Amino acid sequence: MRDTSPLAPAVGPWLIFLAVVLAPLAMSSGWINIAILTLLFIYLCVAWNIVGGIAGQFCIGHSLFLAAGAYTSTLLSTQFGITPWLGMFAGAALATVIGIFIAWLSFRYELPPLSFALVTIALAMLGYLAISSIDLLGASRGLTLPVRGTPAMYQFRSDVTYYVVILLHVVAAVALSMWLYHTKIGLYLRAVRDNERAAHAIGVPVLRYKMLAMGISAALTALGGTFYAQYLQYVEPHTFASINIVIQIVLLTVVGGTGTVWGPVVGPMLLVPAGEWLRHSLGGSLPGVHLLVYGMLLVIVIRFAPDGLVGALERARQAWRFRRGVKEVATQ
Amino acid sequence: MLSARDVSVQFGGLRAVDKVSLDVMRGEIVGLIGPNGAGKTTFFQAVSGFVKTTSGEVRFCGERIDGVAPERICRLGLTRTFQIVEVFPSLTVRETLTAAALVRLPLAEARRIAVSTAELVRLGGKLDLTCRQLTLPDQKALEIGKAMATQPRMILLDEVMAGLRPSETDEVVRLIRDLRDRGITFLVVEHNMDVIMGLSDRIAVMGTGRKIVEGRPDDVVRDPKVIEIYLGAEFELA
Repeated sequence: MRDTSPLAPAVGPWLIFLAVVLAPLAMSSGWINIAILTLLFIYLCVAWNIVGGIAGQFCIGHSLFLAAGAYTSTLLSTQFGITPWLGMFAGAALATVIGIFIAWLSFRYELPPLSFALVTIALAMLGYLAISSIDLLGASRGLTLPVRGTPAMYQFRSDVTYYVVILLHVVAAVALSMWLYHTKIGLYLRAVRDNERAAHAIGVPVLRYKMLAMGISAALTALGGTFYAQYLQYVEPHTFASINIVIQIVLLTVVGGTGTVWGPVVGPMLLVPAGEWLRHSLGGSLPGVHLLVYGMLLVIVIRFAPDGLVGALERARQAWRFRRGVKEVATQ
Repeated sequence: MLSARDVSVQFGGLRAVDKVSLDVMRGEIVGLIGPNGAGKTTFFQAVSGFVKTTSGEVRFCGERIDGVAPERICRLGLTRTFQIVEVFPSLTVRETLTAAALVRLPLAEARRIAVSTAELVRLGGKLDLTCRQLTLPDQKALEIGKAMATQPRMILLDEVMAGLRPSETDEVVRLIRDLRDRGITFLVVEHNMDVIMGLSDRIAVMGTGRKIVEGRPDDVVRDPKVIEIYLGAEFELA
């Protein structure tokens, strides 16, 4: 199939992407932490975009999946000595079950989009309160991972290794979402996003595909949760289970371009380093200024490019092509 | 092929469809007409699974389909178009038709069917335009194309001619005849009397939720009951 959807042709972005993400290997330790954080957000945005963008179901409950991944692998590791390399899949399985259940619960009653977003916010809040009050999960203090420092326990001495691990996550997630986009699942999900009635009429089992999208997105998000827990060496509710992180994921994706393959890559790639830089340079004198800048950017993007930076670029490219086409016709 | 028995649909206190029975044979084009509010579209929605029937039964190729989800009905080979076009704005024509063909086929074959279906509904040159870039007549053609690509045995057409110019209407009529010759059965709801008279093998007339008359087009137009519901008081004034 020829590529005309809001995706750039495959090779160029991959090269740029690789160049940008490989550069920090030559950088100082402060920069590599920012690079890791950026990649983590790219990964989480790509995961969220499968249900929030491609399938168009605005889920704000992804903190549940992040927490499911982080807490499951951490508990299995601290309580039973099971390596997070296995624990991450247990977390993903748990998140998938939760995600599919939420989708089933919401969509079998055909909740309109806004109600769905509100329901997922409510569930995320409940999850946060529950985790903050259960002693086994460390309540609001959280859990600290014992330092073992062995790769077999998903712990590394060097940040470069963490960097490589999350980079592999990102490559796998982007490849998965590219593949999804043009195959049956992606076509069906985009059909559901665009027009549910019409999707029913051409034989799309709408409920089942929404559940599938939630399942995939939840599983990927949980794997990111395990990574984040291993990287920070602790889990606690505010970082892993509050909806702040989801709002950040949604915001970064919207700025990049919801529902496109590259939008959730571009958004965090630009904004996470910019936010960190702002926080470092102005955080002392103007605390919270990066949030202000995020907010303003969001307003600007929604006003001038509701389909995000990638969508705007794609439209510019089409307009340019069209003008060139007109010129060719005129000179003939 | 399609058989509706005493189908009723009740919305609160309003009986939109009242014990309507209708049979459509294989390879037929049956027209369903009636003034606004006669319950044609509701009957249609009930048959295609978009509205629940209150009583009665609908069978398609012998299988009960009342109360069955529309996507299952589509899988059985009965699909519909919408009165107000329902396209996928951000999908291209190619993607739309591929998605429709996927109901029965693996991806590679669905892509081939998408191309041949686009040719069939005269959208061959517009495969890579998104649906929101299409003109209304093209969107109507795509509406039929979408139904075609699911490779149905029967299509329910809901006022596909509405909003089209006469030349465009002729195109659509030719297309429907073509498709009938390929063995597809049609039930057509239509306001445009010229079109429906020329197109249908048989016509059923609905008025206030009931089926009033059914017969050959020539007989139906001369039926006094039909003249009454269509022209009513105005006819007497004249």
